[in-house]
Amino acid sequence: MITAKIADHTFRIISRSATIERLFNAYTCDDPPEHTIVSPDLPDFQQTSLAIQREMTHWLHLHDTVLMHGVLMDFQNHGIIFTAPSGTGKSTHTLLWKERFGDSVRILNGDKPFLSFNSDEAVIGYASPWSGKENLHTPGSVELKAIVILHQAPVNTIKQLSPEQALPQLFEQLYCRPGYAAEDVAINLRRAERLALLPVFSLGCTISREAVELAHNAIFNVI
Amino acid sequence: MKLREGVILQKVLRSRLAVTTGDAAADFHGMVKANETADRVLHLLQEDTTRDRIVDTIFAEYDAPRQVIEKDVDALLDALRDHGMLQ
Repeated sequence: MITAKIADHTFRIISRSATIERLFNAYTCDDPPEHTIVSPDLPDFQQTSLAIQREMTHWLHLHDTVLMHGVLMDFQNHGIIFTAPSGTGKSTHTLLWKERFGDSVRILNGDKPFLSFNSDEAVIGYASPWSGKENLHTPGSVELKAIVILHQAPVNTIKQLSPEQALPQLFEQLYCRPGYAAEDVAINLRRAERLALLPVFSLGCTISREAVELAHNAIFNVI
Repeated sequence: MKLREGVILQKVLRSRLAVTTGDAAADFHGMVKANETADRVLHLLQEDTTRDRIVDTIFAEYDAPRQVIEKDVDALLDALRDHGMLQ
């Protein structure tokens, strides 16, 4: 049994598997749990981890928090999300930021961060232990300031998207359980709308430091 | 013909969107953006109706040539069909 704080909420995870408990090692806390998740008895770690992730994500969904597919980076207290379909190179691009800017970059999550919409003023991004094949995650949180939608391209280009252009692409990257009721989808549409009103960029990029410089200059010219 | 159960209409960023949910979204969440006239068509499609009845209603309510309305209604119905939003 382990108690973990994820996205500012406390979960007790009851599991007989030491591997599952290790998943939450960096997130342990002594606060009383708000929700208890009993780990199902599934044949392998991935399936068990996914089942816990789904239950936690649904509970957080009911508490103004959504899981988004993307990399959450804290760059000098500015939260930036890189999002794209799997295999586009989000992690590779973020690691180039780390290579270029060193300790100014903290990768809070490399695949599935949580975003809290509790506050009317700001969207807060949180680390989570589900962080993709590179396993990039560091407990922490940051105010979200910009979103970059990546696609591979032969040359590096960046443009800021209008909220209307950004909305469908952002909505697609918010976790929606199959068969979610209409009201749950409506809630996610509201969340996507708030994200679309942040500076959102479309970055066509090569795997290069030049792509990092281009994105950095465009983002910090706006925020 | 009407909107399939599970299709919601929601105003987002000053536009009305039709979005699939529930079983209608088994594969993906389709999204169709509507202008003012299309918004009216979507509301008409909440009840069982026909293409011609929709065109008649819009022609009576909006100051536009019937041919233009027919073209717009057909384009919207095609988009809704493509996204599996009609039953």
